[in-house]
Amino acid sequence: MKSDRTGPRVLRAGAVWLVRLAVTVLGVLTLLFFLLRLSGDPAAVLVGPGGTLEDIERVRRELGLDLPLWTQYGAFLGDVARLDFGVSSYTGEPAISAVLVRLPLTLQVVGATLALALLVGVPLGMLAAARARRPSGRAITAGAAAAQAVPNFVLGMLLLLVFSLWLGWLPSYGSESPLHSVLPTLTLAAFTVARVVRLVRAGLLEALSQDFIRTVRAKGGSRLRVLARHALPNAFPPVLAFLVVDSAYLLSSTVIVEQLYAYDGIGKQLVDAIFQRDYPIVQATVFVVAVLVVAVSAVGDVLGALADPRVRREAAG
Amino acid sequence: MRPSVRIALAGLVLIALAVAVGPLLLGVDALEQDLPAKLAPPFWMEGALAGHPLGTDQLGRDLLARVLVGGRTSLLVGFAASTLACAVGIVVGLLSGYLGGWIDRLIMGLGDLWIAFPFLVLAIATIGVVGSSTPVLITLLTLAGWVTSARVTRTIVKQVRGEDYVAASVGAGAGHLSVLTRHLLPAVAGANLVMWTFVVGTMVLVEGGLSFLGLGVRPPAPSWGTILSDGRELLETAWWIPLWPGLALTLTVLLVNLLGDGLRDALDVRMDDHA
Repeated sequence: MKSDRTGPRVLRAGAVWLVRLAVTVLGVLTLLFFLLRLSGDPAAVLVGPGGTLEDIERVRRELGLDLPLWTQYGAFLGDVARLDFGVSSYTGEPAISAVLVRLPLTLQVVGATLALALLVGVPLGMLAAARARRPSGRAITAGAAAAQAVPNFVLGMLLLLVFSLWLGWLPSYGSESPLHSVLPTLTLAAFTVARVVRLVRAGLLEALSQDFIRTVRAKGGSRLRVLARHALPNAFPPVLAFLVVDSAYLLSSTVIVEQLYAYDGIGKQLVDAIFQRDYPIVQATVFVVAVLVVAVSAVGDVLGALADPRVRREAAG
Repeated sequence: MRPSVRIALAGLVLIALAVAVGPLLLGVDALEQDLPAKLAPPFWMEGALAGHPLGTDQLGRDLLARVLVGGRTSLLVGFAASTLACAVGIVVGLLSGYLGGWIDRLIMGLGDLWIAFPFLVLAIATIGVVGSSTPVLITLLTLAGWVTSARVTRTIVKQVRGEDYVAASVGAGAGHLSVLTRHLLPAVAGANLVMWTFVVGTMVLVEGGLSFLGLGVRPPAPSWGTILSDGRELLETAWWIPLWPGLALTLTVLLVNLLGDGLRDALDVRMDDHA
């Protein structure tokens, strides 16, 4: 009986997800297409400053840039459907594979940030709630407020100066070894961890004031047990919702952080491509990021449903 | 007023005054190069130069003057963009909540998609193509910021428009415009004031980030982000170049967040977007 109720529901969720993916990706790419086509001449960039007008005209014909804009747009959408974004104007390799090669480095930093948010942010938030009126709890809360206010590029330069240039503990620029991703991760994670600390603390304090918690306490549940077993599940949905939204924000912030540390992920690649007017790379990067964002929000929806005690009880009953 | 709100307001007024009036009182040109005086350290260090209390950059420009003048750009972009973003958000939110139906669903659906996309990536792509200037920056930041304000406004409008006094007003023959401006607009003002405060901080940060990447305000005009960016290459030898704009940015955002938190509690506004 359960299966014929959940079956259609899963199908419907999947369909909604696909529509969202299509609309987001299509919208973003359309915006980008017209922006790029209307204000620059890719042919002139490809030929370079030394080229003659005939060279530019020839390249323009080869790329189909002499056709009407709408025809170009149709062809562009067809290419996107085949994941063909053209070749990089500089290296000549297919743009999509050039981006996908760099993607793991970025995902590593973003993934480590999310892991730190859960492994460090949640326990610190619990501690801040458990000791809300003591100096240690206040110190954690104040520290989180400060960490939320420091811009990542400022924090990044500070960490770079202290841990790499002065103390020499960590490598400064590049991405050759796993150690190279430590400072970018810390820079990126500061805001996210701080926000999770504050969310967990606020959620726990609210839950602790509710009746059912008082009942558990009266029945002799230890303070830690009450926090972890009974209050935390209620504080968790906002944290999850924040992390889903934050993932999109993190993908934005990697642009700055990767540029600062000369870390070879897709963020640095995007900025380099902009300065080189390497449009195929720009389009491929934006496409990959759009797909990632929709995928993360879909995963977030599923996890949110699983984590919500009310939804879980309904599914079990 | 709570002490934290007072401290935050006083601090922000001081910063605004300093960047507005400071350069006039100082009388030092923020763009004037003086190569013999380049890379002078701040006043407490050996080798500091008289007349350059915060030191100089690689072109011998006075950092105190640059940070003050740069603050004008950063704060102007931040204030203008957040004000425009909230204004657009209020109008869209009022219409969406008041009209309801498919218009409401369409606007909110678009907002969901809009807010989910990494804005910086789109902004970088746009600026890379159309070039950067203060109006372009303000436009982009406005486009990025309207959704949160629209959502909050819409939620409140949905609650308020069912209230008796609104129904009575409609019954007494009030037109749509009158209901919107006399009843709904005041109802959403408090929440939007809080929202605006937080958005100012975000906008100042984003402007700093874009300028840091070299995609914001064009040199030689300084902003806090461009001065930070100038200091990047010489971080080890002249760490004081990024120190001052970094401190200014952090302090401003900290005070803005403090003010927002205080106002939210004082006006008893509930907002799930800001913990």
